[in-house]
Amino acid sequence: MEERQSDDGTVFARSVAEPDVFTIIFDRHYRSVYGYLSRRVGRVIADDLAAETFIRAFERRSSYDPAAERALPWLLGIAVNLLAHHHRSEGRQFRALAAAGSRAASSGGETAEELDAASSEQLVAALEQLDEYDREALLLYVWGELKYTEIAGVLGIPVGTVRSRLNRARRKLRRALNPDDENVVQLRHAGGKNG
Amino acid sequence: MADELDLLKNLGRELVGPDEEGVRRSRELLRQRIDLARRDTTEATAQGDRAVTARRPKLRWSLAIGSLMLLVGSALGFGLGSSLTPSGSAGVTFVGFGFLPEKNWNVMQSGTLDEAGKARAIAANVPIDLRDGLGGTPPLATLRSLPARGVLIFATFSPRGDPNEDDDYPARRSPLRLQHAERLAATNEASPLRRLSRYRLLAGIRGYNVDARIYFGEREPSSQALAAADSQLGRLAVAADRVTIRVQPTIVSSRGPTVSGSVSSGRAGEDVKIQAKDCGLDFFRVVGGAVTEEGGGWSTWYWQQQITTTLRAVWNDETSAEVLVRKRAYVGIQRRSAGRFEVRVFGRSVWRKRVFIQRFDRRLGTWRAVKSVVLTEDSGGTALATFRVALPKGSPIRAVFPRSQSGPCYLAATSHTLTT
Repeated sequence: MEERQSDDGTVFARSVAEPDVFTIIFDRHYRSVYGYLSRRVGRVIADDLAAETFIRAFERRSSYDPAAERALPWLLGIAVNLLAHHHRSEGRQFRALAAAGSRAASSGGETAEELDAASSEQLVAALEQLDEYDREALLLYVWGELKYTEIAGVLGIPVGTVRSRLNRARRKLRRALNPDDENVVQLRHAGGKNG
Repeated sequence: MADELDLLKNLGRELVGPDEEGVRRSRELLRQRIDLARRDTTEATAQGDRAVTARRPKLRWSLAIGSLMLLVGSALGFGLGSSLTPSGSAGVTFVGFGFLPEKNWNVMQSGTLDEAGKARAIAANVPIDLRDGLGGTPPLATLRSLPARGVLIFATFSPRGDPNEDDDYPARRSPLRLQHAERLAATNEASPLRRLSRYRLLAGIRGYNVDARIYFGEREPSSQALAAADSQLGRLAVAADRVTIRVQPTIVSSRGPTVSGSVSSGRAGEDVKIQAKDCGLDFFRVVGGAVTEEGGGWSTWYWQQQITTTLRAVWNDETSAEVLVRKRAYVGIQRRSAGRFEVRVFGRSVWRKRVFIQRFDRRLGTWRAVKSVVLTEDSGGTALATFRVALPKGSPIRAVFPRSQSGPCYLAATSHTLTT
């Protein structure tokens, strides 16, 4: 019970001498890691990569900084490295997401959901066009639900660079969604999460 | 119009939740890895105890005293390490790499090999900065504030066995001497370490490669500082008395892994046996062997791996750590006649498992499942099935053997692509 209440850093530190404790990390973060991976490469590959992420995390647990209370950014960092070998799968997954949006929009309706579905198709197309570094930062922010500082840690870049990449990525997505809107130049800053 | 971030957040939301089978399988794989690590820790402790007990009558007094000092030193090192490094990393079982204790010197050492097969130790005649650890990089925080009379030695230990790497580490005997070290060029003027002088000493000792970096707090170290470094290098000990193993890669498909390692005697011509325990079995069997080269390194190729396997090396009565080598299943697909195909999976216990047939949807640019096929025929280590698919001519198809079907003894696999 005590372990359940410990922060991730403490659990990692303990797991070096008591490997069994590492299952707490799995229980806490598997779903988040899987969710991030499945959106990027689909369920079949995500199954393998999520398992591999936790095995690698376990093997490298002694290098985890125990001062870091939340392990999710570190785990997603491993997952991002594993994803580097699956660019093609990721491209296919994006196109599948776009097609799903397209099918939903094909009914020609005007409900909010249908309009959103049409936008999704444009959004995914724009997502594919993004510079891969900008896309990585954006997806860690939106799908990984990481803070700016955590993204900086995962990608090994300054927080300011994270901000500029996110701003650039959002601007391009907004343009893709509003191609006729001349006023879409600068986005408002995302509030709340930017630690 | 919804905000682009909200749209993105909702995209693929239905994919976020894993199915219970996937969670269970991932947890099982992790559990296997944890069990392996736990056994390593237990065996290392037992071997360390046995080695100390068995060797003592044969040792000369000087070596006996040295071993005792090393143990005390490790305790001191860990005592200090505990206050400097995360509590978890200080709890690793000591095996025998590091510096013997000396007054006015601070030591931080890992004591045993980490997952990457390396051990590290730092010794300094100044306090070691709290921010420095035993990762792969030198202790930069301490080095940045190293005073003029300061000396710091950062040593990395790794098992011999890779001939290309071993060539750089000439065989030497303890104690190591500063006179064998090479002076490195000064860092560039922009570096915060530019005022330091640096030396590097490479040595192959008792089956291990030692890479010692010696730093002085001034560009021209005083004779006292040089003498202090020389003396501390002499207290660097490689006390492991066992056989090591390294396996690359640890995920294999058709070709097996290269297995290498070292024995602590450092002698050529020693026989090392390779033992394997296949997934699902609870005993090891001898699957190969190797003979050591000068310096104690050995290397071989384990070509016959057919299933996820645990490997270890045995030399005399010593057993190395165990390494899990995962095997990817092999799935093949071929056309038997028009619209009729055969799929086969090589591996143990794959009969009655299910293979998923996918076709490539050019419009969507993605693979889509068209049917699943049960492997109903067994042909001695190969399970196969024939099936029909009615698809437009020229459609690319492939077979996928997912982890949900491959079980814990194989990784998932995908066949090559055929066209209908």
